[in-house]
Parts: sequence; C-alpha cells; structure tokens
Amino acid sequence: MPCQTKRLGQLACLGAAFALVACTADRVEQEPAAAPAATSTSKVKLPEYPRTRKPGAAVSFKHAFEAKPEVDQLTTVEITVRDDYSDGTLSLTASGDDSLIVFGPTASMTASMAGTAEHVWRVSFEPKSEGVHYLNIVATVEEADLFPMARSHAIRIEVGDVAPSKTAAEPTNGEMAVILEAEETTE
Amino acid sequence: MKQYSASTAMAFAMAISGLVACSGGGGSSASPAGAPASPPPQVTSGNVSISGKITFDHVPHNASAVGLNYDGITAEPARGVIVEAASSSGTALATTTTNSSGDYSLSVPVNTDVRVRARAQMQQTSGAQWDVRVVDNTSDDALYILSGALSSSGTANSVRNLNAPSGWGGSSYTETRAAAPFAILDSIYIAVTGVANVDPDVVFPELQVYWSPQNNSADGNVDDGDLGSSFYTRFDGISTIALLGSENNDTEEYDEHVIVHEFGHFLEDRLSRSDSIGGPHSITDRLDPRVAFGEGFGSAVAGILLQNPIYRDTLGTSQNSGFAFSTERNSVTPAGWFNERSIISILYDIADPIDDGVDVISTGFGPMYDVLISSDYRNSPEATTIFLFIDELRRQTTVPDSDITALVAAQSISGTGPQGAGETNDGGIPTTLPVLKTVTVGGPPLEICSLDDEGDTNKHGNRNLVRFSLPAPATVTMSMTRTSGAPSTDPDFRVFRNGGFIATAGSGVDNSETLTRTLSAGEYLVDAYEFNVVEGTGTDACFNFAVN
Repeated sequence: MPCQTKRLGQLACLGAAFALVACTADRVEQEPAAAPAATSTSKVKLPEYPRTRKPGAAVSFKHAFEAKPEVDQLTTVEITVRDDYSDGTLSLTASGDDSLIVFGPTASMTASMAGTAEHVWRVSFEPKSEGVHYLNIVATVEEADLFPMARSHAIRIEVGDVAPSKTAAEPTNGEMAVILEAEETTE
Repeated sequence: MKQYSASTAMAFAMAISGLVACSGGGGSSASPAGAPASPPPQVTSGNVSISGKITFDHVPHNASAVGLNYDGITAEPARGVIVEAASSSGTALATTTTNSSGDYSLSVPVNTDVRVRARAQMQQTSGAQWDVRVVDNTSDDALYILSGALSSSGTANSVRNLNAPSGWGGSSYTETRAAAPFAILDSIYIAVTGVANVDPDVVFPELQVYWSPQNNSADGNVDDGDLGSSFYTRFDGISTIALLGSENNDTEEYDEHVIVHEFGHFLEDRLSRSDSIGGPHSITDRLDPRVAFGEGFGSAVAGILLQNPIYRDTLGTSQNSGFAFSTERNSVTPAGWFNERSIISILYDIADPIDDGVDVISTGFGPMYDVLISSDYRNSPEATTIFLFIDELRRQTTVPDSDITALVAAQSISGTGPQGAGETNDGGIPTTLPVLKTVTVGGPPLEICSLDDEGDTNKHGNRNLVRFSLPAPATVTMSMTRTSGAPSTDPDFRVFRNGGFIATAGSGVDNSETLTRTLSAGEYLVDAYEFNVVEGTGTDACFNFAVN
C-alpha cells in the first residue's frame, strides 16, 4: 500500500516502512548519475523513514464495521486479534468515551492462546453524538514463565459530520503556541 | 534485584548538577531560598528581578509497578527549561533557563506588565548542546507554553512560582494537562544530561516531541492524533519522538522508560547508526537482528540513564493497567541474537555496576556510548546487530574477551566477528543462518528464503542480509529469482554500503527482481525479502540471489 504522506499512521504505511532501512539523510550515497534506470515498477513502494515503536504484547489488530456507525444506533465492529504466543491467556477489554456506549456483555473477552492465533471479538457500541469517537482497547497476555504484557489499541469511529478537532493554538511572539495556564504563587 | 550503588547515583547526580550550573541558566543565585529575608529594595527606574521556581505535577507509578498513583502526586522542578518574561503582546522581554532545582531569575523593566512563561523547550548552546521541544502535533506543531498571569513588575524584586498542574480531577482528567509536556521534558533532561556526563561535548541534533491528549493508539494520521503507538522517526528530516496521551487509552507522560526508550532510538539514529527497520515488536518476539538490537538498546539505555532497571508502561482505563519488566533479568525465552530481551540483558549488564550471574562487567555507560559513536561502528560495512556491537566492544575497550563471551553465551549467542560467523542458534528457522550471508560476484547464486513462521513485518526469517564485495568499480546486475514456495511471489531487495542507502529494487514483477547499477569498489549489503511475506499477505518462498 503506497504511503502518500509522512504523517500517516504506522499500519497504513507498513509496506513502505518495511522497505526502508537506515536511509538516514546524512548517510545516503548518491546514486551514480550514469546508472541505468531500475526495472519498471508496476507496484510503487515508496520509502518512509522507519518508525521504531514502543515495546508491548505481541498482539495485532484488524477490524471491520458491520454497518456505518450512526447516532443512537447500535453497531458492531468485528475485531480480529492475532497473538504471537503458543500458550497462555489473552484478555481483552473495550471502553468508549462519554458519548460512545459500549454494550456491556461484549466489552471484554478472554481466550486461550494455546490454539488458534486469531481471535474474533465482536464489540457492540452506540454513539450518542456526531463526531470522532474512539473505542479504547487493552490487550493483556499472561503466559507461564513470562512477564504479563499488555498493548493498547484504539479504533477510530467517525459518526456523521466530522469536524477537525484541534487544540486551540495562538500566535505569540511570532510562533504558534498552546498556552497552558499555570498555578501561580507570588511573593 | 540490582540497584545502582548510592555512591554511583550520587556521582551521577553531582555530575548533572555541575553541568547545569555551567549551562548559563538561572544559576544558584536565582534560588528563592537564597533571597534575603529583609524587605526588597524599592526602585523607580531601571530593572527589577522576577525570580521563582517552575514545577510540574509528577504522577508516580503504583508500588505494584502497574498503573499510575494519582494519590502520590508531587511537584517536581522543571529542569533546564526556557523561561521568559513576556509583555502583554507576547514579546519576550527577558529569557533564561531554569537550573537543576527549577529556579530562574529574570531582569525586567520596572512598572511593566509582564507574565512569566515557561516554554516546553530545553535548549543548551554551549558545552553539551541540545534543543528539545514538546509540541502539539494535532495543532500544527504549536509549542506548549506554561503561562502565568499578566501583572506589573512593580518597583521591587518579586517572586513568581509557576506550577504546571496534572489536570487530574479525582477520577478523570477534568482540567488541562499542563504538566504533561514538562514531565516529558524531565525524562529527556535526565537522558541528555546522562549522555553529557560521558560526553561533555555532545551536540544533539534538534529533537521535537509530539504529544497531545488526543494522541491515541489508533492507526491513522498523526495530525489527528492517531499515532498507532509511541514511536521515534524523522518527519521532514527532523528527529521526532511521538508519544501517546489519550486518557483511558494510553498515556506516556509519566512513563519515563517509554520516553527514554524512544530517546535511545534518537541517540542511535543521530549520534550512532541504526539500521533498524522499525515496526511492532515484543520482548518475546523473534525479530530481525537489526530491530532486535535497536529495540534492545532503547530499553537498556532507558534502564541505564534513568538508573532504574524497572521498565514501566501504563495504559488503559484510568491509566490503571500496563506492564513492567526488569532490564536486569537474564532469563530469556527464546534467547538469542534475534530477541530484544537478550540484547537488553547484555547491554544493561555491560553498563550496570553490579555483578550477577555471569555478569562481571561494569563499565558504566561511557564505553558503550564510545563504541556506538565511533567511526568504525558508524561506517562499518556490516549491519547494526549485536554482533557488530560486541565485535567493536572487544576491539575498542579493555573489557576481557572472556567476560564478554560469557555474557553473550548466557543469551545463547555464539557467533563471532561483526557478521556473527559460526552462530549456531537459528531461532527455530535453519535458513536464518548464517546471520549475514555472502554471495560472490560472478559466482553461483545464493539460495535465500523469506519466511513468515515468526510473523511478518520485521520478524526473524522475513528478510535476508546478503553481503558482496566489489574489488573495483563495475556495473553489476543483481537478481532475485523464485526457486520454490508460493507460486506467485514479489521478490524485492535494497542495497546499502556502510549503512548508506544505495538503491531499491522494488518492482512488482512476478517471481523475479533485477537491478543494474554502476557501483564503486567496496563492500555491499543487500536486504532481500518477499514483499507479501513482510506485508503479512504472503507465504514462504525461496529464491536464488546472484550478482553478476
């Protein structure tokens, strides 16, 4: 999958990111000017600077909505969780924000990691307002003789008209700044 | 569990303190504690002093090491941050830097309306140098600034103390999380001063830190806060650490080890050399050896520079979940050159002052750092793996070979030299040996395989590192052709020299890939793989790789 912007998320750019190794700008050798062109490309795999992510449990997520999320409509998202463990227990919990109600019985799941590596989890939710909501997920794995590990994940849920949500920044002394109010004491 | 000795910690703290005192910052004279008790003198013209302390709310981890303890919040000094006296229009009338106690002192005109502001920025421009800013990636990279109230400077010296509150309201964040940028900076302060302690002339490139309360672990656009994970990368050439901040999802501002782990990537990338391809990983994964080394270094350096071997990461509802592990732990499954946990154990044991098990090495951070920034390491024709690092450590330090051998052998690593020659631990995938393969120009093709046994993206067996040597400049054709496995494959490869990128052969041609280039004499390293295997959509396949 081509990555059209440097600021796209990791998964969206994985194909591109994987294709890049250590091409730090100050260490890139110039290709010889007379070098013949590479073979024609029928599939573009643009390089992106690698993203070194933080450690976490060896689980990954994919999801698909069963229907377009609408305000006050119960909707289900099917989440496929893949674990890279041969044994142990996988625990999953999901939660929403104040305007995203998660249907209780679907908000958690526990599975053995001894069998299949992929676990299908159906989470039902109901948005109470338009805008961008997030389904927050915590995956915890416990395997004998190993540290319990965890990984966070989130699923972006867009409902209705989605207006950009930005923190208010203001120009100050020639630069944009987000002003944070201090607790001030004077003497 | 090992801890640093009190004397080591004290020496470290003294070194940091001394360094900051020389930084041109506020200096000890700015300390309110040193101010005279008598009423300040009145002045009607010229300047007066505004001094004080900048602090931020620090939220510690629970004693169980999992989750944050909001009952334990303390105000901690914001060290090394830029403080301004700003006019009503925002113009900086005076600027200084807080000292190691968070103290500052500014000289401003009398009877002038000013507000004291602390920028979420640390900058030191002499001696050891750095420039670190915490900005809001969801708001056009605007800098966070902690601001006091606008009031007259008056006619007498005065004290204005600013605290950045956590925003915690008892069961959730109810106010602006002003402390977060300064908590992040403080972890980086420990890291940069720790490096400066072993390299007083270090010059760090510019570093920006992306943080926002909207930064969450959904994959998407960074401008929207959809980071997927905390990570290090470069955006438009600028080194960038991006940190999660979304309440009830994942917040990093008080996870010092996560922050310094990513700082370790910055250090490796900009002062040393990193060949890591990045991507998701776990301490239990079998990984590409370049990823294993980079990630292991990140976690080890977090334990070393923070002088705390317990790596903690909090996440989840009310920031009450997460995990912790010890960088000191030596029992690793599966141990090997492909496991970041083995790398952590080796690197931490090299630096830490306490012997345990086979570890009798206690070099501190200096020798490790010296190896990493050495020209030989940075310009090596080999890939940045544990083998290259250990080989340079043997060559550049006086650490006894036998001690190093014992340490790596305890992690089931037996290969020697920068290529790991003779390694016998294949991590369950025989085709991964030798670690670095060699093909002869004009010689027979080398069979390599791209396997997904351990996952995709960056896992053990996905990719092959192939070396070839050109004794003289020549036009060569590199080819990669399917021999077995999946019937339809997309072989790709990339070519490097001494860590520098040369070319990509990334066409979508079925079952073969060819690249012709005129190359100068030297050693070349090829990263060869099946595109769909690393994408997670392919199946195992093998190829002939040849250079003619």
